[in-house]
Amino acid sequence: MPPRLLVLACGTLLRGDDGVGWRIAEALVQTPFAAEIEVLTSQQLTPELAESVSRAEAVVFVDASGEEPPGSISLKPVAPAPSVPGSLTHHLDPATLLATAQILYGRTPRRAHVLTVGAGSFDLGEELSEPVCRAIPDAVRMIETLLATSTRH
Amino acid sequence: MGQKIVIDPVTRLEGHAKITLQTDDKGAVQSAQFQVTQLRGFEKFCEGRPFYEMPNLMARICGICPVSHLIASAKACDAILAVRIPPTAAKLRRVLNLAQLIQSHALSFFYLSSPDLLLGMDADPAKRNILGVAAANPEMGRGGVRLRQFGQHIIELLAGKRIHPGWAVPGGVSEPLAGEKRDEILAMIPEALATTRKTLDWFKSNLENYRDEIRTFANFPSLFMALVSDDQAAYYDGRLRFVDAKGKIIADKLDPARYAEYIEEAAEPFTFMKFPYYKPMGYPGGIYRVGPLARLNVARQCGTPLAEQEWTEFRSLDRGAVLSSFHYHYARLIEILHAIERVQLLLDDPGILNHQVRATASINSSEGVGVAEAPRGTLIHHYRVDEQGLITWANLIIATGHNNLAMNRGILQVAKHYVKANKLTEGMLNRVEAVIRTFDPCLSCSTHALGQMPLQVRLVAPDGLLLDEARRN
Repeated sequence: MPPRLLVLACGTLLRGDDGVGWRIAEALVQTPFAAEIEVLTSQQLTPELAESVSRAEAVVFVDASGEEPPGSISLKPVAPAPSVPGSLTHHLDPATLLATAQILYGRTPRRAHVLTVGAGSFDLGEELSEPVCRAIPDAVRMIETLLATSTRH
Repeated sequence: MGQKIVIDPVTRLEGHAKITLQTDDKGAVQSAQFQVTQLRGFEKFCEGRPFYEMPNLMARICGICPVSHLIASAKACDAILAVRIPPTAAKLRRVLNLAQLIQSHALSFFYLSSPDLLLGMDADPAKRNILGVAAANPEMGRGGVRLRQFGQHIIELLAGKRIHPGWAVPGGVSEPLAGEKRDEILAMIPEALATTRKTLDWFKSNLENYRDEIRTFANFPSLFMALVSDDQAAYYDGRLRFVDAKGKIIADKLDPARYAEYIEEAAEPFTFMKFPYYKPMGYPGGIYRVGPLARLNVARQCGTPLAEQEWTEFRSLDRGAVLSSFHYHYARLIEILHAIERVQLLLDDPGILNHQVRATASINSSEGVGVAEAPRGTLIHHYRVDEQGLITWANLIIATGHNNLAMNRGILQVAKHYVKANKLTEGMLNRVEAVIRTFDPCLSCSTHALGQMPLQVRLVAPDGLLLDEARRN
């Protein structure tokens, strides 16, 4: 049975707020709706994730952002990218991973979003900054709302 | 007027590098340099750390082959403890090492090199990637992705996570294998075997299309080195063997711990990567190659039935050793086949579930050497410790480093054949890069650097005048 919502959390736990995706993933598996979602964590997006993406009804990519104020949450739709850079090796962005799923497996989730949390620091360390910590419950609630609105393609 | 051509950085390999080609007055390439331009220096900053931290620290050298460093480092620490690890622990480490080989070779073949092989060296660079492969041949694309998943999943099942696992520890492994995990791995094997055999058949049926590349891609006499046990390539443990270009054994049963007696490292001012060479033949005459091609050249048998058939066919390509580095691709596929068969054999042994997987001891030696075959070739970790077990000195010789002399010579061969300085073409430059990719260098490991790789090519006259420039991002 494919998950109604696939959550793909990226980042590294060793670089401060870059680990927020993983922390949100940890929080998600403790929620009452955990059985309805599939949560995968990864340091970066790779082509191997395309199969899981192709099977999901909806997907949300969760990551830290260095371009937004610390603790602010952004949720944006993302569509498969029509092309990729020539130097592609083994890591992808969300749009390219969606395109990979389409090319390899013939389908992509009907709904795809990128949820980012503005980071305050990417310095070495396993602790999140205070504003980023405070953002986690809100991020979980936004993902719960996505789950409620997800439908199969 | 002579010119200098710079390809900077080189794409679809791990790490930062650039290639500089110097032409003469008539535009013919006269020299080539493969320059690795960054340094991280793990050997220095591990000094002062407790030796038992080393496997985890060294696994951080690279995100592609952390398992290889984990295993070589754990073996060096075994030597510091002066213990013989439990047989089940050795078998489990073997499985882990083979899984690493499978996932790394799948990455190299399907993600990095199959775009050139399937779409052509002259194809649009925007399409020369795994997505281009998927679009042109979805079955191959899916197969490559699944094969890499297979190797990564074994690593995850055994060691807890795919990247930077810490399961191999001084004295063995930290946890035994659970029966259900073994069964899960065994259930995946038929698909992995089928994918590999199909890809091998495809590759062999297309060899005729690459006659020119086979002839010119680092195709020259050299020595080959690998670990050997019972005349088979030994990926986890064995003795070192050197063969010459005719396939004749020139040194055998060498103790890997005494590598410094027959391997010397030279340094050149233009690169951070050293140049190991076979000491008795001097520098640079002692040029040798390691990795898949070398392992198939030093072996006298393969040891598993399907791979044995493929190995026999492979060795018939040349009378002596197979010399063209283009055939690293071919050898890589045969090694994947062998690794899958070997994983099955190891897991079919009931003793693999034994719970005795770690020997304990205190420091019994002030020095330890750990040697294993990484996907790209022989990997050497050598540590010295003080009485408290703190690292006082470390030396790492990485597979990519062993191949440095051969890569430089290979670039020169390809550049002389394809590059005409008065007209730069994408396909010409891609072939210069592609010869490097046959070796699947991991510059992150060999200099401990990591980076992104757009491409810049510059034609510079001896007086510094920029004559031509090509760039892709």
